[in-house]
Amino acid sequence: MAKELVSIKGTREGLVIFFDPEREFEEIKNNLKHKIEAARGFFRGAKFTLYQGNTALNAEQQVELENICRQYGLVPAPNIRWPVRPAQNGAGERARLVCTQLRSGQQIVHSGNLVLVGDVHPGARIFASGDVVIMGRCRGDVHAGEPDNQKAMVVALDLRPNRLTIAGVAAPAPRKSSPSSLPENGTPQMALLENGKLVIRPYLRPSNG
Amino acid sequence: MSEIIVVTSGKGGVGKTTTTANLGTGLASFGHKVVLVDADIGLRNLDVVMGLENRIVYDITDVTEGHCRLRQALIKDKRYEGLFLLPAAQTKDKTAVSPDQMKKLCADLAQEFEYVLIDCPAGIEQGFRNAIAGAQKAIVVTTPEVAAVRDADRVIGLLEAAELRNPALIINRIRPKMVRHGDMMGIEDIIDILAVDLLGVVPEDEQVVISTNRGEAVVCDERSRSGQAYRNIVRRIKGEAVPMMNLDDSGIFSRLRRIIGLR
Repeated sequence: MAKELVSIKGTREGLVIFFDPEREFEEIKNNLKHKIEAARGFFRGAKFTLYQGNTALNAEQQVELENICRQYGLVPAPNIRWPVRPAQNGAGERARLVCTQLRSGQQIVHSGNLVLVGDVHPGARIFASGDVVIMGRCRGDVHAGEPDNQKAMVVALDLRPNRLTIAGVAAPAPRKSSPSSLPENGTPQMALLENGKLVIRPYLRPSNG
Repeated sequence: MSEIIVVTSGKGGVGKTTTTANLGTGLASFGHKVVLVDADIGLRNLDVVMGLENRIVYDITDVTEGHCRLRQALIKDKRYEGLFLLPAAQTKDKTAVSPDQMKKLCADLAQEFEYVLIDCPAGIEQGFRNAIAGAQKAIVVTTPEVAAVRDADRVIGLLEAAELRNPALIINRIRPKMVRHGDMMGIEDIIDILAVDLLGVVPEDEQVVISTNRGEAVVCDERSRSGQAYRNIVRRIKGEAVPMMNLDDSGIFSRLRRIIGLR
């Protein structure tokens, strides 16, 4: 893609405006005006920041550009971060990615975290020493946190396993006809240990911070 | 180009042999050259279902052990010119043939026939491994029962492990009335569980029992529902796009249409 003179990117915190440092300042100014005008007030009231990295703009020019944005109703917010950082620190943990339907009689034994893109059919088994994330339906046996990782969890888009253990702790036996301890159909669920007991609850996205 | 297709199921009694006989007969009725291989050594049935039992002289082990030529063991069908059967041995067991011998046998048959259909024994042991050894495609037969579907799932996993990807599913002996009342798994339920492509659905039909006992294929019966279902499957194997049969024939109009032979 050819590099744009001015490009505006949206983040969760606001807009980040980029400039091509190799172009004339007048050109950039005109292009910025043109862009905002073309949006027909779409950006009015939006928070924005000018991208500070690899620009050849001096402080005066920056102020000039900021003022242009202000004229069109944009609100400066210098603390918008770019590139967007993950909400939590750290690079995350490694996981093995498996894309398959895990059918009856098949099993995955993995030391570490496991992400399965597909369903776990009845009669299939998963053993993992870390977390197990199932992007699909779970109807088979899942053993996470083997043998004694109490922090392990199991997430599935539809979690109705035949057997489920975390660090060797089994899920409570389902009640007779309508197993209230088991989740409703179709909503993502997670299983984890709380005070040594295995609980299953709806999987909520971590808050946006 | 010939196709070597194994018909399998895992569970016994779901209709592998009946399906093999009907698909083979159906393909032959369209003028194709077809051979049916009975891989169920020790429990041979396909010859009985085809009504060819009394013509057996040599069997599959005679061929693999070199007691006769392949041509000599092939039995010609009563009705269709291009249809042949290679019967199983009855006095031996599954170890009488090896996967390598099956591969060679299938390759030899593919030289001469457009379709090689292999009737797989129940189970997942040596007999199953022999039957799938030479196949290029697989058809999995199941009935709308939990046990049969579970076994089909297991078999599909084993087929995929043996590089027989994307097997096609036939749901046999479905009873639309029971499905409607929620007493039987429906087509969507089974597809949902197994996550494979559906090749066809065959309704429960007493005519199958009658035809099988007579040694005739129900696919030749123009008026039976199951025969129609098998004919549709045959055309799909040939590559035609045939819509799924409407099994819901409870309405007065569809019943009428059937009576006057529009379907």
